[in-house]
Amino acid sequence: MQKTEPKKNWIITSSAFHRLLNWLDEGENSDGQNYLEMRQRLVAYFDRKNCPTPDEYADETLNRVARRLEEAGTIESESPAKYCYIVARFVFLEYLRGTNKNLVPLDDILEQPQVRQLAATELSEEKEVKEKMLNCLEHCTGKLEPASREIIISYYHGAERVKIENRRALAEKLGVSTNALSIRACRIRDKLEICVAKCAAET
Amino acid sequence: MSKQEYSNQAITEYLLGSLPEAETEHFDELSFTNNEFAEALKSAEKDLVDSYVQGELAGRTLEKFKSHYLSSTARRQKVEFAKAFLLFTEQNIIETKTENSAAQRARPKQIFLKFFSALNIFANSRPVLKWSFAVAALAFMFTAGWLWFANIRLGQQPANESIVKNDARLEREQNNQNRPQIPPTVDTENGKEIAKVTEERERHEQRLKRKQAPNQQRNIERKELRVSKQPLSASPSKINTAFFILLPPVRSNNSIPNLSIPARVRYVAMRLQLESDDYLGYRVALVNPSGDKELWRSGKLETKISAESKALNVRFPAKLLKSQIYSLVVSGIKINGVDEIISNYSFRAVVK
Repeated sequence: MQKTEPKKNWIITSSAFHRLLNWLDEGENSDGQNYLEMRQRLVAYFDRKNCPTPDEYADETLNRVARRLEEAGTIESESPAKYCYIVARFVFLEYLRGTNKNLVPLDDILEQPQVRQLAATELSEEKEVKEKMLNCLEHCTGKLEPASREIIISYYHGAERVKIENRRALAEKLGVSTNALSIRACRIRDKLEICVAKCAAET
Repeated sequence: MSKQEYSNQAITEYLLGSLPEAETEHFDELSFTNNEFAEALKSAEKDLVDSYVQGELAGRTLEKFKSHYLSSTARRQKVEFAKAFLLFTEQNIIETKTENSAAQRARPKQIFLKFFSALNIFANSRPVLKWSFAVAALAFMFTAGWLWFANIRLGQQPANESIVKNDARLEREQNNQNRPQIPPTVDTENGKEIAKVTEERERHEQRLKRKQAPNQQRNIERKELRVSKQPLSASPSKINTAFFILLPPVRSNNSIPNLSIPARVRYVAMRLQLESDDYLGYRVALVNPSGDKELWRSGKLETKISAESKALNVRFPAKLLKSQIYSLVVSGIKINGVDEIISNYSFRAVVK
């Protein structure tokens, strides 16, 4: 596989973007869902690697894949998911090479006055943020279907063994496996998290 | 790929950056190429964050969570969201239970209304059905009336029996009267003797009748009771919940109450009496003997106030308990949302 190099002047066009969508769909039209899922996995990957701006690195990865598709017409050596992972790994290694030159000891960072001030501000705003989040949760769960609302509240209620028992009972009540319930609850929670983030930013 | 190739523990280690490099890269690739793994990873991350928020992490896992997981802004935002979200679910789980119980209470009313709405179908049905219903109603009324009269007739029977008895007594008296009477003049002493004995006999008879009358009444009442007091169900008794009341702990008193818990019980319910009610809400946690592991935690609770005391009601699965000492740690929720431990109810569970 050719090593993908950053090409700063290359801008993704509409046709390149559609080619990327079709390639990720692998013949079955997903209305862009596969693209969104892949982007989400890329963001999560770069976040796990402690990259400061995971969204940007995820977009950079997808841009490079789109450019490669535009140049080669198709990529058949790997599956779309594996190819995206390989490109992401290269992007991450480049990030590591770039950051090694600019490493600053953590103690030096913490002693900077603006960092101390930021910490103090965060503590005082924490209560306000929590209040805002609760209001947004009320608003966002109100937009859910009653069944989804019940799932999301019941699934995450309780602690340790009580939580496990609750989930088992809920899965039985809904007539699904615990795995299927876990996936459903996860997706509802992700949706809520996005809605709350948007709501909190607007208020 | 089967789930056996990765465990929940391995996923947690991966999220905390504790896996060796080769395994980390393997999981990195799986997070893209294996949909099942990707979903399990998302779910495990949420559970890990929730465990941290609920104070369930300890030791090395907690250290790694703080040092590694919280080093990212995006992940710290997930923790903030989880804090608000879990508080929200606790507040709303009580509302959900209240709505369910209200729905259950409304069910008999709905059944009642449905019954009467079903009667409307006779208004719009064919004439044959209408007449059939009318005939059935008449037959029902006739049967009910006949049974009512029969009941009245049966009720009058004791009065008739007493009339028959009176007749029999009258007959006896007449027979007595028809007996040849010993003229007193023939043998005065014997006559007096006889009169005395007769008088005594009559007195005894009356006393006996007076004694028998209430017994007869009691027998009738017992029969009526036996008829009316049929057992409602023949099902064997089942013990679902064991109930206990725990008083506020006293500092000077070190004794720990022993609670006998039958092995077949499903739940243990406790009423924890409080010395005061100063908080917006409360939470109760069941803690193991060493106090470092929380076995069960309640949602947000409110006190039940009666004329003599304030108390919290909790219920948890009986299978959490073995024969040893436990503590129920009560925390009060302050206005700023922070929990403050206010009391510790220790007890010794004796599981039989």
